[in-house]
Amino acid sequence: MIDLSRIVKRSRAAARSSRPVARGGLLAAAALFLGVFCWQTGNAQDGGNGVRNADHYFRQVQFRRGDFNIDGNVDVSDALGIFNHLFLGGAGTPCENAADSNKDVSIDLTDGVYILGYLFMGGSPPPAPGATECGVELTENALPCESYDACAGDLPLITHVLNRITFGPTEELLTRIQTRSDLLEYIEEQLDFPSDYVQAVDEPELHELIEQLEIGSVPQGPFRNQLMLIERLKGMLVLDAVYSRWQLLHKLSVFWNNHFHTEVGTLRQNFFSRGGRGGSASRANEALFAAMDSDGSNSIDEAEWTSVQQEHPGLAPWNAFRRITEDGQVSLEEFIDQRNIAWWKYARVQEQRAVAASMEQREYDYFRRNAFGNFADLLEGSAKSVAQVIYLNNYENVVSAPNENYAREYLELFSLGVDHVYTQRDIEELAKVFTGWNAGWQLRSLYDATDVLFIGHPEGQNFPLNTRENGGDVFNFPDMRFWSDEDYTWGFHFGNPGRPRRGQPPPSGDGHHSSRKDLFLPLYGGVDSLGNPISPLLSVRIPANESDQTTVSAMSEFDNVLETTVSLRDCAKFISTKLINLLVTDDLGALDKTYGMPAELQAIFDSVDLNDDGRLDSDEWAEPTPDLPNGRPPTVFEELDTDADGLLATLEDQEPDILLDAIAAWYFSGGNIREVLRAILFSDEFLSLKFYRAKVKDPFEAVVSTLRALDVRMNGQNLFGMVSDIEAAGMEQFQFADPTGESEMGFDWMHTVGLLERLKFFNRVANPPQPRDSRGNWNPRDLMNRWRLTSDEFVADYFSLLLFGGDVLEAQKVLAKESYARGNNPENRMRYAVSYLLSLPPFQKQ
Amino acid sequence: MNIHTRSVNRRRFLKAGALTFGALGMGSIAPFLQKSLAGDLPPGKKLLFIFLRGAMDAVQAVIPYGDQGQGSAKSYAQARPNIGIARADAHALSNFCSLNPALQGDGEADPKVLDIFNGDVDARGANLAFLHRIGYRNQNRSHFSSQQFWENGIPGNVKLEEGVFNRYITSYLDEERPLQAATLSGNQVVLMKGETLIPVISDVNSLQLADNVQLGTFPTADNPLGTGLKGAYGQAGYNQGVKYNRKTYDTGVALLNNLQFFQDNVLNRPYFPAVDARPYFDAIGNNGFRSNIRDSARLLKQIDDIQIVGCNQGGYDTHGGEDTRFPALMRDLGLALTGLYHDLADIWDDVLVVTMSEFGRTSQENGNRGTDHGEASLCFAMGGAVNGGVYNCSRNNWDNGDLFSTSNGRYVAHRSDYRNVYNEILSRHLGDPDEQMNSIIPNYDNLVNSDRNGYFDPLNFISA
Repeated sequence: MIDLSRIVKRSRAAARSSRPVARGGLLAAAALFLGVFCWQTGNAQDGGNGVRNADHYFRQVQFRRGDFNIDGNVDVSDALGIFNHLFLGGAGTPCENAADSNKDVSIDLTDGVYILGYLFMGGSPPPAPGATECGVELTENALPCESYDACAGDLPLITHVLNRITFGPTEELLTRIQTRSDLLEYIEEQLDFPSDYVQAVDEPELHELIEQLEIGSVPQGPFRNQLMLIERLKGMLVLDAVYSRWQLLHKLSVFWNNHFHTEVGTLRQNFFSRGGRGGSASRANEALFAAMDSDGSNSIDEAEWTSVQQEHPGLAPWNAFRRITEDGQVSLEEFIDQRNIAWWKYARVQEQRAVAASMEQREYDYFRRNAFGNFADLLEGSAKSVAQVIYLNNYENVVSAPNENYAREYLELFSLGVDHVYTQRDIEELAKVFTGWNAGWQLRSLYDATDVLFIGHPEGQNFPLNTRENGGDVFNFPDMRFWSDEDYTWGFHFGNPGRPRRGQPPPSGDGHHSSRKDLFLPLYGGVDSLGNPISPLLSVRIPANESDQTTVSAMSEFDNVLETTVSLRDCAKFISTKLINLLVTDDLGALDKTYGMPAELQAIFDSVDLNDDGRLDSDEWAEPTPDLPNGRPPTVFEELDTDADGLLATLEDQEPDILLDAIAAWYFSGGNIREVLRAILFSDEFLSLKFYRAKVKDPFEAVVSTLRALDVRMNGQNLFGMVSDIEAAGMEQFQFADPTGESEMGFDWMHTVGLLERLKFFNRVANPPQPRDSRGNWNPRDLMNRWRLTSDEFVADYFSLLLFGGDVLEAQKVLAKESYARGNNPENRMRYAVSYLLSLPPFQKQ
Repeated sequence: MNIHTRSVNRRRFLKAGALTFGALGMGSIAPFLQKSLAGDLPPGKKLLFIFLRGAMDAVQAVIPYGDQGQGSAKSYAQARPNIGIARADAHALSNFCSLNPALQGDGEADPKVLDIFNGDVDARGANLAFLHRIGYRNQNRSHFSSQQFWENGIPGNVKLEEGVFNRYITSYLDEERPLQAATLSGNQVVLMKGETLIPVISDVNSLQLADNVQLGTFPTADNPLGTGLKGAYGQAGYNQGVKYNRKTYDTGVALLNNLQFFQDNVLNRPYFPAVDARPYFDAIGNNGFRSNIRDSARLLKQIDDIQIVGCNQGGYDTHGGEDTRFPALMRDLGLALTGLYHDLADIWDDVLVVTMSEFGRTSQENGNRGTDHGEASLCFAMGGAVNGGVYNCSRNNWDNGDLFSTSNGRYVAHRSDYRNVYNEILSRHLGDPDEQMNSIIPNYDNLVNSDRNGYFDPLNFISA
């Protein structure tokens, strides 16, 4: 499938003509007799800005040292070959560096002698890369190596891995990572993302660029430029993905953001069009009303409002505010009406959009910071992120009529997978656990520091969340809070733990469900993804609680559920599966299954296999069986029946090795994502060519990989153009309509409209038909000069290496050269060719 | 039940012909055979489906006021004290049920769904049907799963990415029809996924590449390289064993064929909706939906041989704020239907417009003016062949308390299987001369034969 010879075999006439040609054997022999034992054939004078192997651009040829006749082995024929070449005019070698057995930067008698010493006298082996391992030259001072076919080179594997753990290879990366061991080192480095990373310090250039574009920073003052509009956040994702050295981290950040998806439009609509419900936001509102009502008339008029508004310019002006009343006097009832709440401060749609985008950014920052951390922290962070609390209606989840939306997705989308372990009954029970959760803002001056409602209010006590990775330190507060300006603090908060008490005004929220809540009970009939009934040991039983109605008590119910959730095997399996889909393949059926079926599973299989024919049919599956739930759901049967033949063979019950390894890593590390990633990325299956180019790039990956490969300079204009190109191709980060988030499956990204929009993008970047199209901010001249890319052959070869790891159909390469001919000057010709090469089928894959 | 091993019917050999390789002259079936293989489909029949994503609240759209409640099962008004619509505000469809008021208004640019239902718009008669209580056994309440089941036609199979309508097109693929189906959307929907590559179009007018991009020519025996993009995507030498390679190349070929087809046949024929349709189309609030509906009408009118066009309307997951969000959704849908009614007048007898949604919602409202995931769904069906009326929502078939008729007492139980609706659409409207329904809707014959509950009794909203 991969023509390796093409990768290393190319010759480049122009470069060769400028290089001192290796002298022939006669000359060498003459020199030898003249007592000149050494002569240099080095390419020190060669051009290429110090890059040694100009013939191969940024790739070096791998070889074995001592293998003069390049047959793959170092043996006596190599020593004889050297002598023959030196003294009898025998043929030279296309890899002089390999012939330089003792690495003294010359080919002479001592090289032959060295080989003989190594082979027969117990002498030292040839210096790196040695006689047995393929490797590249690691020093500047070495002889050239034109080609060495006996070492295939690791380019295909490197391309494969870079396509998966980064947003695409660059010349810089392909220069740096020459061998498999370089590659392993790079994976380790990527996993070793420093926990104290600060972009401004660690990646100042990227930070500066983001600052220049005025994205990524919290604006001073009340939304002066709508700085946080969602387009800017999307732009920041592009910049991070293109430029950051922490590629795997960003890949995972985008993944988590998508896994725990929140949709910014619904977020804005939920909160601002309808207002929050209940909770302490309303209580603050009552206090605010009282503070504003300076004449104690139980209504606020224009003068009262204006006077407060002058002190708090973030508040909507009276004209905007006035719409909630008909008579010009705002009553308490009108003031605290949930549908009006948001109008006090954010009357303009632009401001609301800015706030909603800000919520998204806070959430995204959290995922980025915890991308390699503990899954429990990610799940908890998402559950309590303001964006999520509002998006899936948890802020409206009230005792009198619980809202099941978040509870369902918590189980279905965020932790266990569709219909695994949980049932409708679990959803209803879990919805009760979430009652009283809320998000909102509060006037800081009215904040009662003794009332622990806000997590991490700057003036209050931080809520003691459990962080699982850092030994129980207080949760890193700024991730959870999403807004705090001079006057207001926004955040997740818990509405009201208690019921109304006699003699006191009723709490404005419905508070928390104090009745008992039972989850994951076997009697609900839930089954795991293998069809097993769930163990009673995993049931969560939360007793009724009428006495201890504190926030801490109510929140501990969630801790209880969270702890059980992440300990369920299906949680480990679901998340690991999604990571495998992301990094390895979306075709789980193609993964190796050699570990065999665990004994306990085999026992279950046998007990269900009523006719003992070694296969289960759907009737057997549905048949009530002792110790197993009656009528196991057909959904699970269909899921297990990977070949869809209506029968479950034993093997179909098995899970892939790589998944089992990932689940094991999850268990041993307590759900640590870095360890799960390690299990996947260092697996034999990932580090092979089995899934080489077997995934489809999504539009974000297609755009970003192009920008990385071409090193396109970004500015505000072209960045937003590219964001809209990603959307046109069908991917709307932060704005995807369903809570499922965008798909990770290739079949969802390869369709005609997606491909059409990609083709448009490639052409806009590489060969803009409109000279003023800012996306075409790619300057090919540097590249042309650096590598002297002045012919169709050179351009096709260089980009074939960069974009395809050298693996592209010869016919397509010929067609690319024809495209080159369509231009009317060298730069223009290169633009035509590159636009065409980017449009080729293999570039749509990863 | 195994759709992968169903007998390969002869027409499937043509699958790459019409939609992908048709223009290459590489079709493997001799022209004289093509006609005989194409089956005797009724000429010119067309379908437009609109998938209402997010689970449309069926009992809020067509409201069963006649259900007085029974025991602990409440009536509509009792179950929905905050978001319920007063009977006086709704439009009576019968003495049992009424239409959501947002579907009919007096203004010039208000929807006129009631008028269409009553046959009051023009001489076409009453060609609008509401199919209540549509669903399937063991209803799944996950959006993802249930949409998957509605689209692939196999309840329980969450994985199969192959749609009922794609199977139909594949079964009746006809090389002489250059474009038999299209999805108007930013992404492909499962209903249209499958063996035949059906194009997705986000905007008809955007179906072109810049002038400096060379579409070129596909490889031929004389010129095995071809030229331009067609040359690149028409290559056959790639490794077919690598996942998605074939899909990538086929998609490219289909796209390039489509670009050529639209360049030659559609984009050079400007489209203006019928004058009396325009106010309704223009008033649709959601930009994407408006554009997709107009484009759908355009394809149905401008491409003679097109059979199935599909699009989506999203946003129906009304867990909260349904009192403000649902009317806006209904209004957009009503405007779309009214606009289509006028714009498709010339082909009315041949066209069928149908909506579907993955499930209905809880009959009881929740605590924040919303509803949660429920069970039975509602379909709208409109077109010259439709027997107008309200199905499964009358005193004869809806008992008091049926708003809470599922075993857990929370949802409206279904009475008709959704595959039954597909059957009437496909076999009675589009036509199924070769009796392929058992493979288009897997296991259909068995389902019908073993049905003891009337789930597969014909609804007859389209006459046999």
